Amino acid sequence: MLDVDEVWKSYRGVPAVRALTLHAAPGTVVGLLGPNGCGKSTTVRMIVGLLKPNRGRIRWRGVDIHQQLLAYQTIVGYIPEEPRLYAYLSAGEYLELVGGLRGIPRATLTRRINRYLEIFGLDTDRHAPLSAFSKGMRQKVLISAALIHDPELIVLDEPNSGLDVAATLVLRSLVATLAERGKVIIYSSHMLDAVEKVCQEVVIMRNGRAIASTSVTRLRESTDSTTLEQAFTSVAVDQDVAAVGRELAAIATI
Amino acid sequence: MRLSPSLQREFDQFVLLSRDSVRSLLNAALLSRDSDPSQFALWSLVLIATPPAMYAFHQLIDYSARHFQKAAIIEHAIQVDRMFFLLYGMLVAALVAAATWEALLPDVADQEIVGSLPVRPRTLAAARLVATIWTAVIASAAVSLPAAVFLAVAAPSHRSLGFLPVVFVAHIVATMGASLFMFVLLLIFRALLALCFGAHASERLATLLQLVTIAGLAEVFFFINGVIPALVDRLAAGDRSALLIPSMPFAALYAWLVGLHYPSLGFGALAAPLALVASIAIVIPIYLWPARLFARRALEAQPHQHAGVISTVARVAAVALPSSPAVRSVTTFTVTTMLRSRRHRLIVTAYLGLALAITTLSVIVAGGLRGTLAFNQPAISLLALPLVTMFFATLGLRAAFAVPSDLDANWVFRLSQPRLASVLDATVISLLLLSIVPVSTLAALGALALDWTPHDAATMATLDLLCGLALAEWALRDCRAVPFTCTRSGDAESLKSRWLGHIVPLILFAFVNAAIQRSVLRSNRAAAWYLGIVLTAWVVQRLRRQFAARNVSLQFDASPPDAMATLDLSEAIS
Repeated sequence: MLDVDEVWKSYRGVPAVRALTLHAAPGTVVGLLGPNGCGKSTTVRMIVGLLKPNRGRIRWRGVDIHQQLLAYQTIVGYIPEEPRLYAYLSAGEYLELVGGLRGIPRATLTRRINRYLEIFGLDTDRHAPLSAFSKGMRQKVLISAALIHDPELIVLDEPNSGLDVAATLVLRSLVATLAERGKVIIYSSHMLDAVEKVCQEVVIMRNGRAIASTSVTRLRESTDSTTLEQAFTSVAVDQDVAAVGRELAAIATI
Repeated sequence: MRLSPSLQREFDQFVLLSRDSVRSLLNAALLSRDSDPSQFALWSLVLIATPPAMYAFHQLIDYSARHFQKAAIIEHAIQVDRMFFLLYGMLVAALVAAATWEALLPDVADQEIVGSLPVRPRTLAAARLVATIWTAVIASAAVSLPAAVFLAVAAPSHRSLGFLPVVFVAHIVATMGASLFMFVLLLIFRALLALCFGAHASERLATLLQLVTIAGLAEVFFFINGVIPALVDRLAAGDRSALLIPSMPFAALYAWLVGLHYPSLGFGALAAPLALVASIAIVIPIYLWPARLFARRALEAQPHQHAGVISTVARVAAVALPSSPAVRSVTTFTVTTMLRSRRHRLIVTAYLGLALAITTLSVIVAGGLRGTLAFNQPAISLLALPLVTMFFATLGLRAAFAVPSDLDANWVFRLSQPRLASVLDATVISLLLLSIVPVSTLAALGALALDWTPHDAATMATLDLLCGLALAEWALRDCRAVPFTCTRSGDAESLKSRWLGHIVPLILFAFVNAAIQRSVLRSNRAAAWYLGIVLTAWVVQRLRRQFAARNVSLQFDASPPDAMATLDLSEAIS
């Protein structure tokens, strides 16, 4: 069980996350939604232990993660928003590095890497440097790296980024299967239809705060919406999007 | 002895990260992202190892020829040579540190990738430290080994040279020790700077360090007859204060190992290993102790919100130019990229390092150190200073423009397809803003500071400016691309490959031009004539360039190497 309790984080005095509370039980997928700059990525980075909260605690099975950070990070799988990879490594080398750092025995690691590359259709490019990979191919490598050690907690920050339709559907099925197996999954995304289809719970953030934290069904009911997109718009979007669109189109005629 | 499981795991992680760190360092040193790292490493090693190897080979013959000279003379000459090898090795170590400066400590990317894995920050820092030292060991071995072989082979030709195997070992121990000492000192400096002033301030120093080391590398050859013999004399005289110069304890160690008996030599010889061990003992805690702090700072760092002052001024100047929108856009892009890209700045710095070496030497040769050069008058050697600087700065910028910055982003230019004439105008303006105007202005201010008459200072600056414009047109004679947007071909022009072809233009542009400037400064009429000639030369070149640019489209992909150059061997084999 992951518990994020009243967590605050600020950068040089500027608050990015304020009093955020979030709970995720095994077998559930919690969606993290919100506009750009609302604090989603900072929250995700705190959950995986990259950042330490200024206030509040993040606990895994009741223990503060920063008390046993290394032990905690052995059970976390993370797909970052920015595809940060060592671009001079090949896909196989990168996965070997990550697997090696996670202490996976060599034979097991080789088997798993081969299988990931094969399923994702990357085996023919396994010796090409990652700098030559497209965004979608890099994302597949990151997904493989996040899952290679069979983590208990999986944190996905914009996992669909760059993926084609088939790969997006595969990812959706993968998330559902992992949830069925009792994994705890945090799914941060802008893609509302994907969140609606895979998440049971959603936390909507705005200006660093959680303005809604409930199940997808309850959110739709409480906002009298038929889709998550409508519910999200009514809760988190305060712009007249149609007017903004018209204004943007008019700029080029000035 | 078996390690505990957690220590064993940390050790395994350390080994993995050390291997990866070597590649990280190599990647940081690459001037172009599309270069092959292994080829780059190989050729860099060959490049830095060739001068001392050639010098040692030359000395092998020289020692044989001096077979009948007195022992004292030969001994002094050998000590001078040994000091040269030590200085060269230390400068190469500094150059390696400057080239890999940003990767000497784990950066944001490292912390982002490794930070979410169960790896302690100190393991990552330790791995990076070992990888950096290993890289320095390889570079210093490449510099030391060939020379050690030649000097050892030369040993039997004269008794003063020492015993063959001892010479070999002494050369390697002393030169590699000196290189490592210099490298570790810079690592300490780098970590302390990052600790006290943050990563950004620390990274900015790389440009300055590279400028100094390249100038030093170019000058060390000219010091063989001047500065180095003086250092050797101080060593032979047993001057203990000379041991404060970083190379001196290692020179003492070298001399002591080969069996020389100068006064206080043992003390100096002992100081060398002690200095090396102490520097290593200091660098380890300085790297490991703040590792967690470095990681936190890197992960919490916000991108810079403000452009630098120079960058802002240059961009404002570019935008204020009375040109077409396309010229202004390309100029702003070029100037901004140049000022913001560390890789490209390092290329220009390498050229400026050579300019610094040549200008320093020209002043020394003209009597600058002996006090025989009158600085308050426009002497030829002084007039040549801005011209040499301008020549290398312009060629450096031209070379940097040929190295792509981010090829994936060049679609903006591919789609908008500005005219080649506009692009070349923008490139000339960029050269003007980044090299010609600053150098001419600094030259005028420098001349006034040296008490030249305002008339001489203004005339020199005007002549420099016009000559610079003509130089810019010459430098861009075969340019067909927007700066930083064209793929780099294997046979791309660089100072390494075309240095011979640049010597005559350098002599004409800097030294012959300075001599003419010296003459014309005596008469207003002559100055006006010369200004007119240079102006005409510039206008003719500009018109020729504009004529040649008609009906030629922009290039985004470098043409493949000339079949004559490659002889199409790959095709012949297949």
